Amino acid sequence: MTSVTVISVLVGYAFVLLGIAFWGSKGSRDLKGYYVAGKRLPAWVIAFSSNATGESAWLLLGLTGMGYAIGVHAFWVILGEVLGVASAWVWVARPFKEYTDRFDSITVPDYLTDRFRDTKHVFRWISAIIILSMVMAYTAAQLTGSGKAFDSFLGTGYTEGVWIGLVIVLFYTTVGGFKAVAYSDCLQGVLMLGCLIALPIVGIAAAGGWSEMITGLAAADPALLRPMGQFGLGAAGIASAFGFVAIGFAFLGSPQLLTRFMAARDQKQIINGGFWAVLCVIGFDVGAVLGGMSGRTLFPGLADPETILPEMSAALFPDVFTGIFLVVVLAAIMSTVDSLLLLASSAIVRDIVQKAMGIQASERTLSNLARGVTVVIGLVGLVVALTEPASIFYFVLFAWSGIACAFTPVVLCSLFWKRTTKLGAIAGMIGGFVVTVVWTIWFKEKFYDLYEMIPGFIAGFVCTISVSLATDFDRDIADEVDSVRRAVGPVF
Amino acid sequence: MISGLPIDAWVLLFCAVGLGLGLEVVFYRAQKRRITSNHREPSQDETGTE
Repeated sequence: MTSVTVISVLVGYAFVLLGIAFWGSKGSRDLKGYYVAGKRLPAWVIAFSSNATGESAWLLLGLTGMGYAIGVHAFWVILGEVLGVASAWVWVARPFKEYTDRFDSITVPDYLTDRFRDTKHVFRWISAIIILSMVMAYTAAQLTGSGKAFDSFLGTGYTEGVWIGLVIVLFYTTVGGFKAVAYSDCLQGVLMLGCLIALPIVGIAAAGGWSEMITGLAAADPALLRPMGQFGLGAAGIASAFGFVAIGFAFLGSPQLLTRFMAARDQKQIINGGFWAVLCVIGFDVGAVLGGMSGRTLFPGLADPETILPEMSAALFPDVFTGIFLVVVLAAIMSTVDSLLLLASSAIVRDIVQKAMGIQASERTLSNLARGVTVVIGLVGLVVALTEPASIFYFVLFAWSGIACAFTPVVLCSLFWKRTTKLGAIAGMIGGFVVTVVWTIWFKEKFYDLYEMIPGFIAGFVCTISVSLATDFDRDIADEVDSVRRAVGPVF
Repeated sequence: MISGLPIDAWVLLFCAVGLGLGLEVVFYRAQKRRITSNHREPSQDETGTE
């Protein structure tokens, strides 16, 4: 499978990323530049980069694998993600942008600290612990995807694949900062979209057309064509469908995605970007699921459904496209890893070192420290990926929900409910995160494998609301919510 | 069945794509309308003053 063409495509892609890194390095000499690109990003960049960050190797390997394994039942994921992305751009992005511009925040803990007048930096410490623990798992899962992809496409071996992926992403992230990350994510998002549009078209054509594909799926397993899959309309089916929809909840408040809204040039970019973001996620998800379904007809009996995309690209596309598909899988991985590394680095350098510990240093020194921390976090992720290679899907979904349940209920309450108090928000963060972990470890199997995002979200909201109601709220903060609401204006 | 796929599967697919897209389109149009009317208001004032 290894050929000069495939390697040439890969090398060409690496050079493009290096070019973006050097171009981005000019604007990342201080912390604001390194972490939010000086808040100057245009609509199309935040749209594609937020989707590329949200959709990781899981989209290309995991979701195509789901289309292969469960067919139409995977449409529930599309419903959740498209609604999640649309709701985030329609309701969350503008007030969040307004708040973070007023506070001059460059991280989500920055925002929470200023929003709740947290002089003791409790939000920063809790956020750092949650972000670091989840980013390690998430990054390790992505690097596992890199190892699998290089090995499947080029036969490099798993360990070598993990190393190559990490070295490339560490280089452009540390050199170019958030500007390079956002623009490379945007490029990676466009590549992913192109391939996920091509995959089902070629796959369905190779299967003999739409009707032949559906006939083949029905013959393989009639449950592949049912919305409730093999479970039917019972508790297990509803739990499974609801769990898939819940994957999209994370788009409403995960810090790695909120950073994009923060980095937008102005409110106008958010109004324009939302439309592109929704079209992009539709293309991603529909393409991945239909691509996987067509793959089931063409390559029945794969031991690991998550290898359907490499199988299809090698068998159905010419060599140059095999190289492009490898690049696209790597793009999906890198576009997530780079943002996670910056998120974790910002939690340490900006939130803990600069703000919570109050260490005084020049912006240049801090941005260099941020680069060093980025490398260390990447290396820790590498060690985990090499010692604990597991299913990409499992780890990604766990870490995705861990971060989302800690932040999303609290961020949503802080934006829209003026009665939210500091103690309520702290309780919501801890409650959402702890319930996610506890549910995954002890309860998930006993309750139809219900995805941890659902109990985690419920716990986050219940803790935030109940503790807020039991504690006094600050009238100034409540007035601020009204003021932001007026500044942003009505939604419709 | 339409093209071999059960109707409930088509309904799910159309809801999956249509609900989010519809929401975004309505939002986008409303915001564009608001921006246009905001631009118009000051210019009318200016004309009146002149």
